[in-house]
Amino acid sequence: MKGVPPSRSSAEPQRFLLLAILIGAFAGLVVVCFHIAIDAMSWWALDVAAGRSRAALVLVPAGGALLASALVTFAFKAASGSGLTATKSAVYVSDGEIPPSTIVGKFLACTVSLGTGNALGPEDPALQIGAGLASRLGRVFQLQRGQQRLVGPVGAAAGIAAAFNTPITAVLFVIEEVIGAWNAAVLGSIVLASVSAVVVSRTFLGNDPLFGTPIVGLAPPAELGVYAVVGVACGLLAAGYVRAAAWLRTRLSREQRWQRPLLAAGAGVCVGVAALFAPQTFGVGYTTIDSVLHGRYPWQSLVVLGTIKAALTAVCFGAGVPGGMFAPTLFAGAMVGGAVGDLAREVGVVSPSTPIGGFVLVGMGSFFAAVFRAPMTSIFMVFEVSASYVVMLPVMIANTLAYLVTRPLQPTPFFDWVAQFERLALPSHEELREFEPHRVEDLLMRQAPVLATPKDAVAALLERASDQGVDFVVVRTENGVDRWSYVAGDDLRRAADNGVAVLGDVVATPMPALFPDDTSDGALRALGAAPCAVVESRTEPRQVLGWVSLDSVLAAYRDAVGAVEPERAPTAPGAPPPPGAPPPGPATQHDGSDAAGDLLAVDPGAGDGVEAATTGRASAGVAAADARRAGG
Amino acid sequence: MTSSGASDFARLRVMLSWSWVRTALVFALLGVLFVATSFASGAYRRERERRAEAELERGRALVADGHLSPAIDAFRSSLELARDGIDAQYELGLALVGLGQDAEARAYLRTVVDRQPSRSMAHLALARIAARTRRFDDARRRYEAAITGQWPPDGESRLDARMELIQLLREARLSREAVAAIGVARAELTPDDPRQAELAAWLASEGQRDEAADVLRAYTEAAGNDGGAFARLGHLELTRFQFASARAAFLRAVEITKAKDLQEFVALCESALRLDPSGPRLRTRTRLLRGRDLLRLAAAMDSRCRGEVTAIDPRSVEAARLLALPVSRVEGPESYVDLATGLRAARPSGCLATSPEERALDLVLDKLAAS
Repeated sequence: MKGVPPSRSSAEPQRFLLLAILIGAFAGLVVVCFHIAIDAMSWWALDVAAGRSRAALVLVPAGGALLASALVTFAFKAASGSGLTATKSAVYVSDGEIPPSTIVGKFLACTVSLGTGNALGPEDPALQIGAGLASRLGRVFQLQRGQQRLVGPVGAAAGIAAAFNTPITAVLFVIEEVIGAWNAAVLGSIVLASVSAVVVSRTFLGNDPLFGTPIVGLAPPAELGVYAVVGVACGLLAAGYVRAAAWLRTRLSREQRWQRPLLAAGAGVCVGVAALFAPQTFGVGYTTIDSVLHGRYPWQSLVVLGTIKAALTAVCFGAGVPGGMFAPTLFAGAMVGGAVGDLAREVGVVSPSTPIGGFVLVGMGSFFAAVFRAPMTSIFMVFEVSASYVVMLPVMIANTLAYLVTRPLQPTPFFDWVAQFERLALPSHEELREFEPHRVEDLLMRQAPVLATPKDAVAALLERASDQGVDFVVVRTENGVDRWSYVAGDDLRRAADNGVAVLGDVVATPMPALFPDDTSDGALRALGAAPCAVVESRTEPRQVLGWVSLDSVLAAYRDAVGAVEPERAPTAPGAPPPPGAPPPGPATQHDGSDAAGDLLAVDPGAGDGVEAATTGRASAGVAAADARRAGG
Repeated sequence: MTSSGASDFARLRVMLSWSWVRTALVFALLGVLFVATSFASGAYRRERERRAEAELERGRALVADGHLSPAIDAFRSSLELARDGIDAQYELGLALVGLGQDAEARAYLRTVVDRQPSRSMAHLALARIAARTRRFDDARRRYEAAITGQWPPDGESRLDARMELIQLLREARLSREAVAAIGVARAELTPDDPRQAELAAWLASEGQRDEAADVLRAYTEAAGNDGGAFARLGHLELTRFQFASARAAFLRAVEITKAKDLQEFVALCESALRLDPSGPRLRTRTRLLRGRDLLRLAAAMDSRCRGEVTAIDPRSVEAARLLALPVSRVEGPESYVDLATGLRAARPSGCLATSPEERALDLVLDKLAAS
C-alpha cells in the first residue's frame, strides 16, 4: 500500500490520538462552514422566492434538487449515496480511502439541496465530510493500514458531533453503526475527535443546543403508559417509513444518468407544493420540532405535518436527492410523540397541564431507534438534546418497545438495506450485536481420542489413531506435574519408518491450553497449527476438563452455516430487484471475500488494540457474511 | 561511514524533513481554514442578527397595528435567527399574553426577567398571568418586582402596576395590605389624577369611608370639573350620612354634568336635611318637629303598604296616638324616632320608598340607628 511506513513505532497510539484531535478540529471547521453555507443558501433561496408568485416557492426546491443531483451524478460521483454506508465501505472495503471529491461533492450538493428546502438533513453528509477529511489526514500522516481504516469512523464521529452539537451521541452512533465494537484505543480517538469538533463548532456557532428544550418533569406511572404507547406507535410507523423509503428508492432508481436529476427535480416540486400548504415541512425542520417541543400544535396538526414530512422525505430519498435521513427521522418521531402525548392529554389519560415536550423528545428517540436500530445512541441523543436526566426512564421504555416492535415488521435495518441496495456486502452491526459465538465448552471432548504416555509403542499408537480416525496423539508427561503435548500423525509415521520404538523418543509439541468460556474464534487462534488443545479449569489451572480438536471447531462453524436462514434480497419487500441500481464500482465489486481477505490480512500481532479490534470484528463479520452467502 | 550508511542517513533526513513539512502544511491549512471560518462565521452572525432585528421590527409594527398572530410568527422567526434575542423573547411573551397563550408566554417572560430582572413590563405581564390563574403570592411578588423595576418612557407605568397590585390584594382579601398600598399609590399620584377617585372607591369598599371621602374631596377640589367624581363623592357622603356635604357634591355634579338623575339625589339630600332631627345646632322644638315628621312619613308609608292591617297593629295605633298629641306633650324626639324605626321594621319587604322623602326617611333612620 502506498505510504505505508517501513516500521511500527511504539508511539503510534499516541500519534493516533493526537491525529484524532486534529481531525476533530478540521471536521469541526468544515462542518461549521457547511452549516453556514446551508443557511446562506436558504436565505438566498427564500429571498429569491419572496415577493414572487407561489410558483417560485415550488421552483426553488425543484431547482435545488436538480442541481444537487446533477452535481453528484455527473461531477462528484463518489459523493452520491449514503454517507454512513460510504464510511462503512471505506472501513471494510477500501482501506479507509475516501476520495477528496467526496468531501467537495457532498459539501456542494447538500448545501444546494438542503439550502433550497428539500426534506432531508445535514447530519449524514456532515458524517461523510468528517470521514473524508479524516481519510485525507490519515493519508497525509501515513498511518498504518489498520489505523487508516479506522480513521474514517473517527472523522465521522467528529462530523456528526459538530453537526448535531452532541458529542456523546456522535461517539455512540459511530460505535454502534460504523465500527460495531468497543475498544479502548478506538473509543479514545473517537471521543477526542468528537469533543474537539464540538469545541470548534461551539466556538463559531455558539453553545445553544439543537433545540430549545422545555423542562421535562418526572413522569408519574400513568404517564409511563403513554410513553409506552409512543414507543409502540414509533415502532409500527418506523417500519412503514423505512419500507416506503426503500420501496420508492427501488422504484425510482434509474439506470440512465440523465434521468436522475430530473427525478430529483420532481421530488423538489413535491417539496415546494407541500410547502405552499404546510410551510413547516419546508427545509430541515428543526424549527418546527422546536415549536412542537413547546406545544404549539394540536395533535391533528402533528399527524398531518408528520405524514407530509415523512412522505416528502421518502420521495426525496427515493429520488436520490443528496441529503441525510437523520433530521427527517427526528421530525417524524417528534410528530408521533407529540401527537400521542397531546391526544392523551385531550382524552384525559394525563393531566392537560402536562408539558408536551417530554413526549416529543421520547418520540424522536424512539423513532430514531426504530429506523436506524441504534437504541443506545437514541437514548443518549435524547438525554443530550434535552439535558434532562428524568427523561431517561421514559426514553428507555419507549425505545425498547419501538425497537422490539419494528424488528419483526422490518427485519433489515435501514442502513443495511441501503448498503445492500448499493451492492455492498457490509457487515450488519445489528446482526453482530446478536451474534452468539460458539464457546469451547460446547465443543468439549471429555476424553482425548488417543491418549498416550512416553512409554507407549509408536506402532501401537499409529494403529489406535487410525482406529479413532484422528491424525495425532495426545501425550501426557509427568515430571511432578502433568504436561500435555501432542505428536502429529506424520511425525509418528516418520518415527516408525526410522525405527523409533517408543513415543518418548519422538519430539512432542506442547499443546495449547484453553478455558471453557473461550470462543471458537479464540480457540482457532490458539490452536494455530495444533490439531488439538487441552481445556483447563480457570479456578484450578491443572485440572483438565477435556480437549478441543480443530475438526470439532470447524464442524461447529459448518453446522452454524447450515442453520442460517437464506440471504434477504437487497430490494424493498415485495419489490423486484432494482433495475437501475448503481453498477458495482471498483471499490464495491466484490463478493465479500476481498474485504474479508483484507481485514484478516492485518498483522495479528499488531498489539496496539486498533487493529485487533478490526480483526476481531472482521472475523465475526466475515463469518456472518459467509453464512448468509452459503445460506443464499 | 559506508556508502549504504550514508544513503540511509540521507533517506532518514528526507523522511524527517518531509514529515515536518507535511505537518507544517497541515497546520498551515488548519490555520487558513480557521481564519476563513472566522470570517465566514462573523459575516454569518452579522447577517443573522440583521435578519433577526428586521423580523423583530416587523413584529413590533404588526403589534402596533393590532395583528398579534402574524406578529408572533415574526417574533418567532427573529428568535430562530437569534435564540438569545431578549427583546424578541420579551415582545413574543407580551404578544402571547395578548392572545391568551399564557403558558408559553410565561416561559419566555421568565427567561427575560431571569436575564434582565429590571424589565418591569415583563414582570407586569407575568404578574397578570399569575393573577389570572389566581396565584396570588406569585402575582404579588411579580407586581412588586415590576414596581421597583425600570419602566419605558411611554406606555404603562409604575402606577398602573400599583393599581393592579391593589386590585390583586383586594381580590386576595388582604385588606390591610390593600389599604397600605392605596396609601402609597395616593402619595405617588398627582392630586388631580382621575385614579384618585378609583382609590377612594377602593378605600370605601374596604370600609375606610372617611379616608375615601377625604381622597375624593381632595381630588374634586384639584380636578375641579370632574362631574362623575363629585357624584361619587355625593354618594359616599350619603353613605356617611353627611347630607349637607352630599348635597353640595351633588349640586356641583349637576352643575357640571347637567344630569337629571343627580337632581333627584340633591332632592333626597335636602329631604334628609329637613328630616334629620340630629342635625347640629337645632333647637329642641325643631328636633321634636322633625321627629314627628319622621313618624308621620313612616306611618303613611306603613299605611300605604299594609292597608287595613295598620288599624289593629299596636305600633300603628300608638303612632296615630302620638301624632295626635301636640309636640309639647312628647318627652323628646326619640319617642317619634323609636316608633318610626319600629314601623319601618314591620314594613313588608316589597314595600319600597317611592319618593325622595320616603328615601330620606330611611336614610335618616339609618343614620340615627348608626349613631
